[in-house]
Amino acid sequence: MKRVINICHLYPDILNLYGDYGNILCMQKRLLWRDIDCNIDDISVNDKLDIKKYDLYFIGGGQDFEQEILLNDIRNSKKELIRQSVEMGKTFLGICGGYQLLGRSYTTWDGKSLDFIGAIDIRTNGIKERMIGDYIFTCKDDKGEFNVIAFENHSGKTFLDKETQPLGKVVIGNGNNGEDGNEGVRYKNVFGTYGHGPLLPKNPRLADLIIKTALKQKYGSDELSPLDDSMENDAHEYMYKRIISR
Amino acid sequence: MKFKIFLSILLCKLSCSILRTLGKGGTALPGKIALFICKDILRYVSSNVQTVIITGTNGKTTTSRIIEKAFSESGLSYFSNKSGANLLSGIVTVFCLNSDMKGHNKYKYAIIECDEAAFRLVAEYIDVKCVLVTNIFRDQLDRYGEITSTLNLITEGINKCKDVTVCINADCSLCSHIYSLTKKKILFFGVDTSIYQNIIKEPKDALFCIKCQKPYSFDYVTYGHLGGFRCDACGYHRMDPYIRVSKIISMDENSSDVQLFIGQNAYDVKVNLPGAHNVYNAVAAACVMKVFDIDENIIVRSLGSFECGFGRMEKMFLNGVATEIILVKNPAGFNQILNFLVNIHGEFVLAILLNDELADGTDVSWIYDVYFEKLLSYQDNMKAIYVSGNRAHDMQVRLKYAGLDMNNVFILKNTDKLFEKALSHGIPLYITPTYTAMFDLRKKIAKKYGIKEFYE
Repeated sequence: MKRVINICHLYPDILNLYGDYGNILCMQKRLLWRDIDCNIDDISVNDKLDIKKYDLYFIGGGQDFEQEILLNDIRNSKKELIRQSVEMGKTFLGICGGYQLLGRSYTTWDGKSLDFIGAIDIRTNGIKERMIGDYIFTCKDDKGEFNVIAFENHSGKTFLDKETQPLGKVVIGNGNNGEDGNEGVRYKNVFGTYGHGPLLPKNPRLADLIIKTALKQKYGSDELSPLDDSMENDAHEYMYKRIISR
Repeated sequence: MKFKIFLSILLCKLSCSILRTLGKGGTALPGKIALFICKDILRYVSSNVQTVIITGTNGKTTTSRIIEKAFSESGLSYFSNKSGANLLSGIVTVFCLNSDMKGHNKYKYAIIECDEAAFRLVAEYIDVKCVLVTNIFRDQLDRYGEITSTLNLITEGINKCKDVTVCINADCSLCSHIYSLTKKKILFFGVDTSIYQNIIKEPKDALFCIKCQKPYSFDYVTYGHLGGFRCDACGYHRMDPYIRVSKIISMDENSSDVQLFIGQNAYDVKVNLPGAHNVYNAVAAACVMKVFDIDENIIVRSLGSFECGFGRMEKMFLNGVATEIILVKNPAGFNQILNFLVNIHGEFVLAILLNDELADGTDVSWIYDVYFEKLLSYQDNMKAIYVSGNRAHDMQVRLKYAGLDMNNVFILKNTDKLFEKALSHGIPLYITPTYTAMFDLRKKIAKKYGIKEFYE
């Protein structure tokens, strides 16, 4: 039987600030190259979310301007569904704004508090300065620890509640808040990170970890044939050396 | 005070000639020195000049060159910041250089392209006569934060001007919002019709109404978020432009023929650079020309004969191979170039040069908002794609995930080798560099080949 992963791209028209599409494209191609089918549905404001259909969710980053439209829609129709999906063990990749959104709340720099989805125990505080630049953090799969190369651009400082695990540790850069060395979040099958834009193409090992997580949840096995990642690894290595030597 | 002005101008001129003798550009530092001596020097050196400011995300340089062409054809005395130094310091430099030691400017008009964020600083000192806002797209968000902050910065600048006419792109829902944020006189320009039969799939930078945040409807789209937008919820809609392109008669890889209305008067106009974005540059420039009462026949002639150069679809022969350099800075611009490339008849070679210096934007994520997938069905036309620049590997991966045949994509970081290979095919070469890559490229071309213009 041919395997299939159904991806739900949440709010692709709003949360698409920095080439976030690259992550969808990367997961899709890496599935298809292994002869695993992949369907992608765009679900946005006013669209009905049928959580029975999806194995993997992606939420990208956005601008403040459109946040209100988004929060209304989440509150009105999607908040509970997303929380249910997370608890059911569906795989999520949330980056930047999408990562913050999965958390409990966001307090703006001038003290206004906004309720977010609340699927994971993280909170974000806005500050006036932005944390911007290339950065490196670690991540773990069944073979051990590996580096992820990314670009961060956020004015939110995210803090994990005690029990919540980070996605990894910051090697160079700010990560969640520039204070505790944590980067991102890992809860059930949720991956949250500040590594914005096209995070996955240059980090094929992370891409495969996410794909495997979704396969395992759906089929009980995460068997995945290897690909030739020499181009991806070249891009990764080149940036690793550059960032490390700065 | 007089002495301060004198000293400021003197040191600006002096440092500039020293820097230029040393082979440096000398565009920004002299201005910084002038500002250090006299922080409002710009007020004095611009006091007897009528200034046009050209700002917005894309098309500043090209539009400035078209306006210059018309000013020169009309015999108006003007200067411009042709070097492209468009921050406060660069603008101070060019004003000081064209001024005498007392701060009296030698020219009657100044045609100044200005960075979107720097405009409000410039408007503090210059009594601007006309501001052109070309468009607002996502661009270097590592610098501006978000797209609406670009709009706010421009509006702040406009509201600092005293007696100004603002030329605004009616098709850009972000720009045209300025109409309700200012009491200044506004003149709209726009394109009344779609331009391409099949436009590129690209993320739109303005999907939701800037006034009420409900989704826009579009009667037609020219490219990106530009077109006949309206909000059915609050009624915000595209304003009828005074200067408008009503019809695209024909387009090829060199130019476009369009019907242009200036008020009630219709003209058949040739736009001397190809692509939808240059149709916009032309109609935007015409709008500014109208503000200065330039003869309509001269307007038409200028649009059909201007030349831009400096990497804006700049044509030259290298070893007998027709080569065109097309600067790319952001997704909106690059997507337009892809629209242009897939309309080329015959075979060609493409070279993409991606850098991540400050002037390019240090975040190269934007290449995933460029729809390279568009090239898939034109691969037979592309003999080879070369990728270069310090982020060549990222570009290679982007093209791989677009699904292009990677046997035809080559990384060549060394510019000498790149030229050697890319020219060896003996068919037209299109080079799309980012900003700093373009400067490296031009230096190399000047040294290696000596630049010869394609058309003159």
